Amino acid sequence: MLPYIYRELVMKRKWFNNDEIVDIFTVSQSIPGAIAVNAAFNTGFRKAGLPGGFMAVAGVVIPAFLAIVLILIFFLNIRESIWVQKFLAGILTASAALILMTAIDLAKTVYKKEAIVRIIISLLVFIGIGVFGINAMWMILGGVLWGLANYLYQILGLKKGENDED
Amino acid sequence: MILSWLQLYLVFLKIGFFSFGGGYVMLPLIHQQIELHHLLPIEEFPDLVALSQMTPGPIAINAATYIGFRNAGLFGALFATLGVITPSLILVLIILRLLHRFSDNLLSMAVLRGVKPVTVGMIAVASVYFLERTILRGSFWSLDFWEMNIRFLNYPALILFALVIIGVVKSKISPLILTLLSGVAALFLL
Repeated sequence: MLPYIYRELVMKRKWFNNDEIVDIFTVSQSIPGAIAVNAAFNTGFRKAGLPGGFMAVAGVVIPAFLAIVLILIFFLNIRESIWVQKFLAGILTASAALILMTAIDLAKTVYKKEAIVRIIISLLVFIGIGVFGINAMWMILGGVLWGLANYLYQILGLKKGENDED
Repeated sequence: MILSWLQLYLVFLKIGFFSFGGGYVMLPLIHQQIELHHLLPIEEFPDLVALSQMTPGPIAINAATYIGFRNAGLFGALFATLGVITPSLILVLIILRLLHRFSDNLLSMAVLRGVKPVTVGMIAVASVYFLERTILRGSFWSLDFWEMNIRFLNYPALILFALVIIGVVKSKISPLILTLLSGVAALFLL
């Protein structure tokens, strides 16, 4: 999604320069919410205020919305067919592969150097959700608090600041 | 009706606010909320994900629209979708007003660094969930699986799985096309 935005808004229309778009992309991938929606609202708002933001989001959301509604109307009728089930099983198998690869890519970026603490956190989250069924929201909250704690350590000078590369 | 629209909005508002890292990371969140609030028969969750993969747009929107529609028709879909995009709108506005450059801001970067390992754990859970329902025949979490793993693999699905991985790594074919091809191939293989 982001490469398309880059191509359209930076290369073709020159609405943003590289510095701006990098910051926009960082924000979009860091804050909660769908990355595409974050990026759309961010760019739309910068370009044309609140109406711009809303229009951009509408542009991203409406096709997805309509597609799912249309598919659902048909799908719920044909769901019993063995062919539909096989087709979906194939889609799901491909998805399983994609999700696994995304997980590995993500792990590679997160576990760069001195990553033992991070690995332990991920393992605890994995076991907590997978085995004990703990609500993932608590895990996310824990991560936020952990980040806040690190921030306070930095601010109070108790710990040297980490650079952004990890 | 209005109550269920509001409930859908609120459930997806919550989901939206906790969806750091986007995409697949959201899947455990959505799954848990479906179970908690009985939004769908839970066996339908893989169907939801499969359909989301075939349509354009973020999984968050697809999932919200799907669940909203299944619960309360078109307006249910609308309210659920509005719920999941609201956090994006609020947070982007806040950041644009308050922060000069996000990446220069110590607090936001620190919070992000704290959340990232959690998202890895979550996407790992999502991975296992889908591996269980495609190439594994048993539950990953049960002891039986680890004792007898040769018998627990769905070999036709494994072939498809491997082909998709090769396709992503070695070819320029987009993941969407590969996914659709996998669906077609499944008609013969599975």
